[in-house]
Amino acid sequence: MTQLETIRNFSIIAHIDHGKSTLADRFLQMSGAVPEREMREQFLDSMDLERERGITIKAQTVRIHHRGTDGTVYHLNLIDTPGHVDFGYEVSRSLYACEGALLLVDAAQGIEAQTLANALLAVEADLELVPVINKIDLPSAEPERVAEEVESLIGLPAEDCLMISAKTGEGVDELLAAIIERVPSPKGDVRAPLRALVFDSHYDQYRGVVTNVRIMDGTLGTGDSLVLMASKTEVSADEVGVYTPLPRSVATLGPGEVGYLVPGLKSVAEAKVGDTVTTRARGADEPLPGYKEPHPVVFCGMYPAEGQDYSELRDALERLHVNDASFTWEPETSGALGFGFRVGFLGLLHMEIIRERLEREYEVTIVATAPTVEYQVLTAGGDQLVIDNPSLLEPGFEEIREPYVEATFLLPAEYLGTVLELCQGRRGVQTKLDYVSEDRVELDYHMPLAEIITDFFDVLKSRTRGYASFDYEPLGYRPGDLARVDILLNGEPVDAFSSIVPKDRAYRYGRRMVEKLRELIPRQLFDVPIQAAQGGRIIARETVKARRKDVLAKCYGGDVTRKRKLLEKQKEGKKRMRSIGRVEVPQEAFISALRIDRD
Amino acid sequence: MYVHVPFCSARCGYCDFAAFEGMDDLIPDYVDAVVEEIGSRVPVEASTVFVGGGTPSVLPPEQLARLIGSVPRRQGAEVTVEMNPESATVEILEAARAAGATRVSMGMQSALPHVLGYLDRAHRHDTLESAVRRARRVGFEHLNVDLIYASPVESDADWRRTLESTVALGPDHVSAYALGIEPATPLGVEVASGAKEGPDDDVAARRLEMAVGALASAGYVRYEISNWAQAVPCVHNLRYWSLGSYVGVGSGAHSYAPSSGTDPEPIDRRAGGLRTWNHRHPRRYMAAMRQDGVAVAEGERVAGDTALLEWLSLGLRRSCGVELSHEELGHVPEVLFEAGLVEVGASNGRPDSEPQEMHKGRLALTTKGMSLANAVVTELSLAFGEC
Repeated sequence: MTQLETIRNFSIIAHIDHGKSTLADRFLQMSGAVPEREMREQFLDSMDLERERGITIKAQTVRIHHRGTDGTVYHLNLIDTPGHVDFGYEVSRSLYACEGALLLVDAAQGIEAQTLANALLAVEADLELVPVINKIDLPSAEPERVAEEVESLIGLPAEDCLMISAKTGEGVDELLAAIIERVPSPKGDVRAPLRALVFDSHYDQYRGVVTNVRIMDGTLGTGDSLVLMASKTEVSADEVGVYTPLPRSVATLGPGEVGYLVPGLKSVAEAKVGDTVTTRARGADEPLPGYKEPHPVVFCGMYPAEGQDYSELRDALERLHVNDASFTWEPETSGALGFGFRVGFLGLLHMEIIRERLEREYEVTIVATAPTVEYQVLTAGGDQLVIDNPSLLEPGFEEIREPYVEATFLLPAEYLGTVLELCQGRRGVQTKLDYVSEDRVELDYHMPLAEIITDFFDVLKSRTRGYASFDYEPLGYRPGDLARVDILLNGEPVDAFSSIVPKDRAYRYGRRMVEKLRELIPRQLFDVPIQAAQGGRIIARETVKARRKDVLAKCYGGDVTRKRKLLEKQKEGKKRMRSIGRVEVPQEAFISALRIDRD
Repeated sequence: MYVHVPFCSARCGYCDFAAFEGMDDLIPDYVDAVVEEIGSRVPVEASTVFVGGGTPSVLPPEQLARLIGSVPRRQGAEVTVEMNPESATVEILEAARAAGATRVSMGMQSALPHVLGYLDRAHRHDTLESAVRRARRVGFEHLNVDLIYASPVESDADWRRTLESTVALGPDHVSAYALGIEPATPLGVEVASGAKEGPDDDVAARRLEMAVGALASAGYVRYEISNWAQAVPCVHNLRYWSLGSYVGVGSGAHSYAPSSGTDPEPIDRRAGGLRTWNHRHPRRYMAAMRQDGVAVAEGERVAGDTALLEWLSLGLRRSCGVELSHEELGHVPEVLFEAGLVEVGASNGRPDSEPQEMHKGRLALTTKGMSLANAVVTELSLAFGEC
């Protein structure tokens, strides 16, 4: 157990590439926690996916020992949080485990939208914010301008900003001193019943579930009989320890301390982020506040690629769910794609992560349908329905409501016009336009979530050459003038292509879909009409003309082997097609057709 | 037996055969090597002989005669020699005839000079006309002309003229091929780089329909996807499509020996056979013959689904189609009938309106199906592969 006064719990809030990992590595190096030769590039991001994308998906923690100027050895717990809006809830739990946060901003880039959103979360959680301006060694650094931005956007005095270079080490000693000085030490009652916050949990193939915990009150010792209050799961503390950064077991964790607990569980679903751990005997009466069940907002259908087994995909989903309990999945059947699953995600990035992990770690090949949001529908009969699959929306409803978000942009003023145009085209309603400095603008929009879950990021990025940053948070449901558009192949509706779109855009959407599909669907043995329909009315039509010639002109004795290989290739190509009724559709069509640039 | 002559006076841009220009000094040694190979490989008398190329008519007449004469063959065997109009001289025609050739196949390709130019052909149509006259004078009654259609410089009207000229010439056999672009040819490279336009599939389909109409009304019977005959088909080529055995001699020539020994038309469609091929380059071929007395470079044993695919893809090229059991007929995908691509006839060749009552029957491509043979074969081999 550690003296409360010597503990500092803090996290780092930073945009991608603003130097969070470099700073964390620098801390580790200075504390001597990891021998130089064992330093991996960017110690904290451990998943392959995280390294590749430069983002943090799972929270990580590390304990650093540092001798202060007063000679005391302080225990600095760095709690690294996921940096993405999709994981806003996880971020809030990680922040709740801290007393302070470093607001790390690139001296050349300035504050980005995501950083702003997380900084506001930290302010709400009552954290002490320490503004840090990094990369001051860059020739393009403008630390004073960025300090002013910090003041105007977040309200922290510009003169409080620390100037550092995590790369060269300049200013890092001063930063450590500032953490000790400015971040309050944790409070907690060692004699009170145990209350420990689970702020992350992951699955380890040797030890089962490993949870990261922050002790609020009481003590947590190896061998204790415990209960997880939200999931009502009884467990015992198989192991308790701290990250140095390599895991090292300890006998007991006391108030204010951060470490890990191995509860002997087989699925993270039983030890979710936000849960409270207490002892079975003499346990706490009340759990810590703020627990929430994960709530998916983006959905898509996932089907095994042709030739692959439904049960393989189910196994993969089951195994991945043990590792990430925040996505939901249930079986669904599609007329076009057969047996599969409707999977719900925290956001678009989360969806991509799950898809990629399924394919990479579990080696299943997936055909995914277009992402969609969850609609609330009031039927003519007065029933309230929740619809997460567009093909299930029956016409003749009384009202349909869709989720809205508040989108925040920070961008160089020169791109203002193009972003305004983009948002207007996506049914956005402007609520704020502020110049945060001479040439940077903050922009707020209310817009439907459905408008940003397909290609919004990509379009924004390409139109602003990556200079605009963007973040959003949920605003609740609002009624919309929406309609279902169906796509018919050869006269048969294909459920996997159905979509819910604004009525005034239905025609244009239908037109583009049929044109795109005409390009993607190869010519068949007969004419294939492709139609778009809204409420039983055909609004667009294209035809894939029948193939007229597919024959080898000559095939004599010397040609047989080579020509046979061509046929074998053709046969393989055919196997990769999805048969929808009589029509063969390449798997790519399901994904590519959905990436229609709608502008 | 197939005898390959790899020499040409000039190579055509579209050709991907084992053919070489400017190697005429190799001819005497090459013919020696082939004659040696013939002696070493033929255990029985050949029932058909096909001397192809390249351009066999570029050989000196006595060398061509030596080649033909060295093949042991049955009485009345069909012996075909391929010739180009410009080199089909009286001398070579007479030498071939005297050595036992019964049939000449002439590379006509087109009647139009600009189409012949696109195809790198050196002759003009009147050259072809006089070559045909010479062949007849020498005594060849069986005469084939090869045509190539759907080159991008050819119009529908051009093709109609070529068909009319062909009918006017009155050969007893016509082969018409859609121009195919092979990647490893000068034309293939030019098309890939955009320097030359390639053929269009829809245009080729239309031209084929024109050929089907024109040749049928002139009394030719289409007995294979690209072949028409007034009365007598090319028996040698039919052997390829029925998976009969054949021996190929000369550079790059392929040989096939069915495992079942049934010859032709295998009973077990998955039994397959052994296919081998000789070294492709004439020098390499000659060196192998000189050193080892054998010129086989590689081979493959064909069996199982691969054999089935070959049997279907080759057998269905013929208008008589393939014979299927009642059970197999039940596995033919319905879509092929509905799209009008295949039809079932009685085993004896008479159409039957109720095929399901038959014990067995012949499945054949319709005219429309012949234009889509690859798609049909792909469907069928997938359907049969699963049963």
